[in-house]
Amino acid sequence: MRTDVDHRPVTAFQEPTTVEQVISLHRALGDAAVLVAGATDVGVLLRRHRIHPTHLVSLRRVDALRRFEVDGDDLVVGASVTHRSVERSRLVAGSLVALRECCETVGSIQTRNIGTIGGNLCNASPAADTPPVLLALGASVELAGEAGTRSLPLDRFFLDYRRTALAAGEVLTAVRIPLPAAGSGSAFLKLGRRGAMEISIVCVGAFLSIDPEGVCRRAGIGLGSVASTPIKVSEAAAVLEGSEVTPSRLDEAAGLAAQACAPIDDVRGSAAYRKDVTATLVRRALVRALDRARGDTGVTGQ
Amino acid sequence: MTRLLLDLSVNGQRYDVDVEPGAYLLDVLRDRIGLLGTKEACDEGECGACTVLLDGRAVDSCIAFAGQAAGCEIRTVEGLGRGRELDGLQRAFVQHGAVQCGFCTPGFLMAATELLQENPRPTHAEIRDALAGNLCRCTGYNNIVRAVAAAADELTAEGD
Repeated sequence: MRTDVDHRPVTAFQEPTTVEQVISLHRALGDAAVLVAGATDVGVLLRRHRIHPTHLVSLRRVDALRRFEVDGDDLVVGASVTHRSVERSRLVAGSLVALRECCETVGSIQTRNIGTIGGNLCNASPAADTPPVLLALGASVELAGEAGTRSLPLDRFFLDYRRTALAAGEVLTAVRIPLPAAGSGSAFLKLGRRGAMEISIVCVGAFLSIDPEGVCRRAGIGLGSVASTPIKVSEAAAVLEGSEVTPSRLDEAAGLAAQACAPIDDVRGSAAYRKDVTATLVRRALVRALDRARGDTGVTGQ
Repeated sequence: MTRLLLDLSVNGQRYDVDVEPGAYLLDVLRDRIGLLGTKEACDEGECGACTVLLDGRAVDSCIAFAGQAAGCEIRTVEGLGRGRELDGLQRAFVQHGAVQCGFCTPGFLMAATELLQENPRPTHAEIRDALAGNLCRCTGYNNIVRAVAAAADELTAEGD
């Protein structure tokens, strides 16, 4: 078996069965523990010695994290639900279709078969595929800790590069997505060099809800790979709300979204290019969401 | 260090193994169980050479922990066909020149196995999509896609 000299060995693989057990293990072990859902990120980070846990706390036997259902006015996606399950769910249709689109672009089928929504969020990569859509849809996350459960809007969950609002011992249990009104549409666009196994140059989630008079009631725009975290660009979305969505409003929103981003130069693209292309992609995603909103009868696949 | 005791079911056979708690499924399959068909290449879930099926679903065994596979039915390339008799996909790979150096082949076969179980009549685009997580540096992919399509034709012909 592989031996690495600079490797602090993992000494335990634990499989709690309840959220409470996960919390108490996590609290007791602190940084020595890492929670493992699908391991598609943790497995790589550990191989590269980027993390040094002594305890792997597997979440696969915690059934409570596998909820996937409509609950009141929300769609609830448990932290352990895989990208592949989201892709194939009847619940993710109609105005929520962008959720399917972003899950379909995560890694490969091998990644999506085991990688989870909760893992994608907690890994907190600025380039992750699902956050822009979840931000656009106005999702919130449920965090369970010793003191109980709290709900946090997703834009307040990402604090900095790979840093989240999870307190010591806290566990992300589910994502809550408000079910859109009839006349809503969403879209996800990702710019990369190839279709599979690709980390975005820029990715965009867009959401629009249009009332029968043609007035935009709710708009949401989320961006990935353009800042140290995924970002929700509320100022850009706000210019669309309260009136008809016109070409000039779309231009304005796209421009504001580009201004709101703070990208870096890296191997995948320059900051200037990312800013430019953000405006184009945001406009394109909004147009697609608008087209879909016009065809949306509000009947989801439930 | 406490070793992790696992009861793994691989290709229908049970294996009791004790492993390091952080052991990867790939290493346990190859080094402890002795099934060398599953290949190690990128070691970071990019190339698909290590693809195995967990309860019928293709996963990269190089980044999956062995502990995650306990209780699952694990299928490796050795579990295709019967003894030395190849299954339909393997035969099609041979007939259509889908194998050159052969290193990526087990991974492609396992990913394609999941595809054909779910979608017995895939289009070429669907085949390419399903195999997007597998890299081949020899064939240029066309022969692999043809082989999977041919195997699908044969399987559905048998089924009709």
